[in-house]
Amino acid sequence: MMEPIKLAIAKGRLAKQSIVLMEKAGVDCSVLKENNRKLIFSMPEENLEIILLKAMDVPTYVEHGAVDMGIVGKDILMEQKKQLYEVLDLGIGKCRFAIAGKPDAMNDRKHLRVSTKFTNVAKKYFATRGQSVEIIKQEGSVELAPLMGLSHVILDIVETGNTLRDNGLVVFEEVADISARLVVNRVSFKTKKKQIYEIIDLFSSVI
Amino acid sequence: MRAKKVLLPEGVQDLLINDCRYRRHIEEKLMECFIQAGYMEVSSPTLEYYDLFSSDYLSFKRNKMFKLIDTDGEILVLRPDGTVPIVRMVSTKMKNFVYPLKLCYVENVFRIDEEQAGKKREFRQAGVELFGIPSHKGDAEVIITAIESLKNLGLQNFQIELGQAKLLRDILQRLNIDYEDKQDIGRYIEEKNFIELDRLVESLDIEIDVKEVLKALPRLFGQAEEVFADVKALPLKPYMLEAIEDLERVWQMVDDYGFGKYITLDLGMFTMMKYYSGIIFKGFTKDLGVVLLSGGRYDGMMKDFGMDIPATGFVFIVNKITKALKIQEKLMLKKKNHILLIQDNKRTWKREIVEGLRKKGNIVELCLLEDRHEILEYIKRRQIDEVFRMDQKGEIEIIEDWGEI
Repeated sequence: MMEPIKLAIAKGRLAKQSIVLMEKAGVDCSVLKENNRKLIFSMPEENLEIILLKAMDVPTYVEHGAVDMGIVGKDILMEQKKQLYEVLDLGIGKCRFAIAGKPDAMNDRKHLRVSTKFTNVAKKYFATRGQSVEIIKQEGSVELAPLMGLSHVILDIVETGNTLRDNGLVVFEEVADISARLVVNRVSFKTKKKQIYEIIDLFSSVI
Repeated sequence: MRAKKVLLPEGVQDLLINDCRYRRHIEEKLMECFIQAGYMEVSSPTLEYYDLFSSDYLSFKRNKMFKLIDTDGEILVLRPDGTVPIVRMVSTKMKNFVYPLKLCYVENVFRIDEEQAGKKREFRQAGVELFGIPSHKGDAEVIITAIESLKNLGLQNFQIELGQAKLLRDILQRLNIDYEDKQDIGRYIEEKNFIELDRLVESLDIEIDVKEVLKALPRLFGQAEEVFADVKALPLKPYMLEAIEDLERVWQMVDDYGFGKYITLDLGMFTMMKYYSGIIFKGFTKDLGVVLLSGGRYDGMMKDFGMDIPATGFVFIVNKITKALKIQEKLMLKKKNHILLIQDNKRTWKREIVEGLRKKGNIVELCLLEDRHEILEYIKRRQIDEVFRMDQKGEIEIIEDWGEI
């Protein structure tokens, strides 16, 4: 019996969309849909083990080889810059990084205060544009920051733009397109090549 | 204040008793192997000038170096790797040695890494550097040494993966495209980012044959014979074939030596660091998802130091190897026979007897405790094998029944 391939998936919406993809590819995912608090799911038929993690933790688990593969958004990969292989764009979890703020926020600002969860992405983006910034790390509801006067603009993930609009914010610039990626540990890809290719092929057949 | 007194800074650690034994054992085994292959040990200082490092090196590692300011305002760094200081040493102090010059070392290196990512900021590297051999023989020599060292440690299921940095570097150099696009191609190939690579390559105005080769590179990895067959089926230009054949000669020589089974290839292995000018390689085991050793040819670096001498080498990350050996349960160090020597009311122990017992390979401890219960507790906790008593005349007797202590 071969050791199962460990696949970490970011919990929440991305996990749900990943299950849809896998089912499309003919994988029986019923065990994943059992409504309990389990975090590790064994799927012996596919020789797979699914591990549900916080999105931010997926790249770390993959880089250290605690799991062989992961499904995680490009936003997290851009923020963390880990040593791993990024083999597939799964085409799910699509959204974009954008700069937003109150309509007059960008008017002649020599120095911008930026609120974001993605401080590295923000640093890099404004550095390439030569804009001097002060970055304020936030944990949630980033949209609040400009409304409360904490910052001039935000750099955040935008899907529909509804939340921004409802709060009277406008998008100034799009920074990058985001979607979920299949990532692979650098050693596992070599030592478990055949098994990992089977999973890559499984996903590529449905995207 | 209190926390600063008892906690350690991020990324450094104490090694307690057994871990020190393991480290010493592993490093001695590695060194023994290097020296038996004709390498000579050198040691560089922990502090170097920041200016030692070239712009190519700094563009990758600048913000990963620990810096200090010297009393005259010069910037110093804690040695961020083992190779550059040795190159400095060779170019300043060993120019007139007979070549090939084979050097080895085991040193602490210091890197600032992303905080709280579970990475060490101080760790041990053991490595070899081979100067003066431009041909495949030099590459094969260091690769064979690496394999022999891992075998000597008893590591199982390991593989050494070879790549050829020259191949992609030569292709990129000949392409008439933006610098950024070249960077991206290198990165996508190295990250096996098939999708982005295909997207970018297709969008470029370059020869179809070259497109085909670029797109194939990250997919060409695995068993050597297969990879060589696959790559030769591509529409290669003569200069590409030359780079492949160079790699093939290295593989052939390692295979002839009997180590072919440890070798795999990855033609997508690449580094943007310009130093690496030829064969590069990495070692790992399927039991641990991290790289245990890495190395390669860096002829380019020597030119920075005004020497036109080819060079190749590798480093082992000692703590990763320790971890792999632990996982494979290959770190069962034999315990020496441990003797506790108790004396009867005498002022001194008899030196000849103690020395005699130690010479035979025993650990001999002179009992420093007086209280019977404390002695028994000590014997138990230290797992002492034998207890001897030295009498008034200096004769020793074995205490069989520890109840009589």
